[in-house]
Amino acid sequence: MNWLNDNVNLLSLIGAAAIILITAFVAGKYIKQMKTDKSTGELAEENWDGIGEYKNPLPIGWAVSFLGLIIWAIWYFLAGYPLNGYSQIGEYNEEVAAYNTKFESKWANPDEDTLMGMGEGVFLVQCAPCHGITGDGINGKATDLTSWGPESAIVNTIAIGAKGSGYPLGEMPAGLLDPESAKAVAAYMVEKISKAGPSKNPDLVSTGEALWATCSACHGEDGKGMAGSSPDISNYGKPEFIVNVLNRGKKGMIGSMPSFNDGRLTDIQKFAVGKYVNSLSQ
Amino acid sequence: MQSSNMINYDYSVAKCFAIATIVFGIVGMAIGVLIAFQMAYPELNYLAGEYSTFGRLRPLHTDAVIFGFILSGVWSTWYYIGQRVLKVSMAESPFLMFMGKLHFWLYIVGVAVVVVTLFMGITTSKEYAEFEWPIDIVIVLIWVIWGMGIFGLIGIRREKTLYISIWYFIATFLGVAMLYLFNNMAVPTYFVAGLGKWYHSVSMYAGTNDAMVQWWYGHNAVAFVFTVPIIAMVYYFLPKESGQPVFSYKLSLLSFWGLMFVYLWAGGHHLLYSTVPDWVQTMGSIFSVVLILPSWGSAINMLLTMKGEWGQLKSNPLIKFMILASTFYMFSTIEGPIQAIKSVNALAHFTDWIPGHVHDGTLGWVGFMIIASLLHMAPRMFKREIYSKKLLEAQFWIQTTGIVLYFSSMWIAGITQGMMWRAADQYGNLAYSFIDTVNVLHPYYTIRGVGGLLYLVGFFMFSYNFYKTMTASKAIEEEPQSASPMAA
Ligand code: HEC
Ligand code: HEC
Repeated sequence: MNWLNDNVNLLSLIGAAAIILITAFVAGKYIKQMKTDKSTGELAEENWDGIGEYKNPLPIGWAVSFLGLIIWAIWYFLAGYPLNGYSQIGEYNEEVAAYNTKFESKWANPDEDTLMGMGEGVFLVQCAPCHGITGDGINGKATDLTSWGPESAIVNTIAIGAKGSGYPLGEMPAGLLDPESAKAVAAYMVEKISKAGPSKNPDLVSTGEALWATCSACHGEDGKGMAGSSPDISNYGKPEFIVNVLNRGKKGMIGSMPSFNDGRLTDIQKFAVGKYVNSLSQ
Repeated sequence: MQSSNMINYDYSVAKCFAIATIVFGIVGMAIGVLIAFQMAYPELNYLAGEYSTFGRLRPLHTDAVIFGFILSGVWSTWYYIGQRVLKVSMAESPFLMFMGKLHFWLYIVGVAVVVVTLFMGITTSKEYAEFEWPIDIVIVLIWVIWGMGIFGLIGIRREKTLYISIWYFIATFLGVAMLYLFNNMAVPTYFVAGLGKWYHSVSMYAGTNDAMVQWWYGHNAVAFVFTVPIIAMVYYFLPKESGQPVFSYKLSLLSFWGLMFVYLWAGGHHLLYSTVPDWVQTMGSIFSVVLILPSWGSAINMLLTMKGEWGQLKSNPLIKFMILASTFYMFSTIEGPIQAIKSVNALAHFTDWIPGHVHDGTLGWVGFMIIASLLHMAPRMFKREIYSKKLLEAQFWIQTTGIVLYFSSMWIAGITQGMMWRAADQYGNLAYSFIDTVNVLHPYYTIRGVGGLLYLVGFFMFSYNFYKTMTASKAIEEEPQSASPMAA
């Protein structure tokens, strides 16, 4: 990262240096005169409590700078600025649009490493304040992402249910299946529905398939959520699922997470952070 | 015309305000040091329950130093300088004497109420204008009484021409009166809508308008409390203490009117990149930049007054304080305008560079000028020499070190912070979260606390020196014409 590529940084540093140098130069010049010069001039007639005043002319450098700045100010305010058609909102919109175009073309086909790097960067700034730097959820303040998303998390979801993303079907009740059956359904899901597998219990897949009806009632035969009635869990365990969470936000059993669809993250960034989050539980 | 030596000036009000200056200075700065350390060590927030939290103490610090320490200093010097350059004693008018004392005591009552209400957390939440409407009314009354005092004294003056310092005192009076009235217009909610307690209010302006009025006020509080009356001091005390005539009448005149005209338009620079109209922001930036020159004019006039007087600068610590103060005045009045340039402000806004800037001015310029002024007045008010020159020299260096630590740490902290907030990684993500900046800034907050502590220690040395001068120092027969007498 190059600090000085940013003109605001650059101008600020120049400004800071100018403050010190100009003050040191001008004050230094006059302080030197205390050593070398002599005060002279014609005194005014008045005298206040023993204080006199010389009728000396203005220091020329000062007078010229003052006049110059006044002329500049009048010009800038009446001509330089208005004729330039500057607008703050306009500048913002232009800069954002230009940036986004550049971003999209630069990262149009990101490879794995790019996605992971980008995802980590997004995570540390946007997500870590609630989920923790390691994603552990900071003692239950938010979802522990190191155990969220894999096969075992499906078993857990079946046990505790799910709510808070505002789907028409509302809540998914807790304890739909006993733990053994839940394990089987989870195995079926990762092998056949989300294909995020391979399952840790491949021998349970067929049992799970038989039990899938419990779930398909709400999530549909294919797990795609019956056209938005419930979440599409055919991509559970994949970045796409997280992109969906980020777009909707969630106010569930743990707490509330805002949605991120206000433009602060691009689609590529959402996908990348999804990828990174998935890697936390692997 | 009577010679000034024959007039028996009455300093009783000046003395009262001098003591108030010292007391409020200690309180305000001590709270300042505490909240500075709170930024570095947050546990310090819990020393005394809700009463010691940063949120409660921060307005107490700012209001105590601005409206306690500085205003008392301004009034103390007014009640001293006013009589002398107008060549008239307050004792000549029982009315003015009464108004002066009323001014002081009403002010003390006002301060007491302010302290209690701010500790209780009762505020309007407007920065530097936290006082609720009943207190505002008392403040207006105090101000009017001061104004009557000024114009009353001017009315009975013997010196026909008004000295520069008097222009600046008048400007202080008028400027603050106008700003304070407009910014504190408020609707008392209880009486209008039955909401809140009887003393609660909301601003009469809404949203962006409120912000604009607030910063028109806030910025000009800097102008008419930190700048204008302090220039009144330097124009009197530096020539008086050094015995040197002021370098140039023309420069005084142009700087004065330049300052008056330009300052009032610069407040918009507090609201850059906000919802305030673009042209208001641009105007704020432009006028801020122009402001460098009238500000520097007064400082240069003072530095040039000391032309050829290097010897005095070396031997007289009061001159040292005043020359360094003028230099810090130059430093902070070019710093502000540069921070008001939009592109620089994009980095500087909301960072520690801003409090750094404020304290260059307040510690270096305002604080030093008030200290030097009171010490110049002390031998003349109490007819005793200054108690210890050695102590004063030591104080000078300790406080100067304090200021340097303060502003250098805040410059580094602020610029670092601004850069970190802007920084992005190669994918365009923000590179740092807020806590990353806090970690980096922590050492600088500690250094700032130490800087403030040094300044406070110096202020204690000054208070002791002043107290001793008042009570125990060697008496002097005759008032010195210029340099103040001091014991080694
Ligand atoms: C009564 C309808 C219903 C049934 C039956 C149901 N679900 Fe759900 N499920 C939902 C809803 C609604 C959500 C979304 C809850 C929210 O976040 O608002 C959901 C969410 C989920 C999630 C995502 C949880 C998360 O962390 O975001 C998974 C995984 C899931 N269901 C799996 C299953 C499985 C497996 C079954 C079968 C045992 C099942 N569901 C049965 C309605 C149901
Ligand atoms: C303001 C705090 C906060 C922020 C910031 C935040 N989250 Fe969350 N997140 C939560 C909370 C709280 C939950 C648990 C909600 C619940 O189930 O009660 C959660 C849940 C989740 C879940 C599980 C969703 C599910 O369906 O069970 C994922 C995945 C997630 N967050 C990812 C992220 C990502 C990625 C980011 C950064 C882009 C992020 N979060 C930022 C607070 C936050």
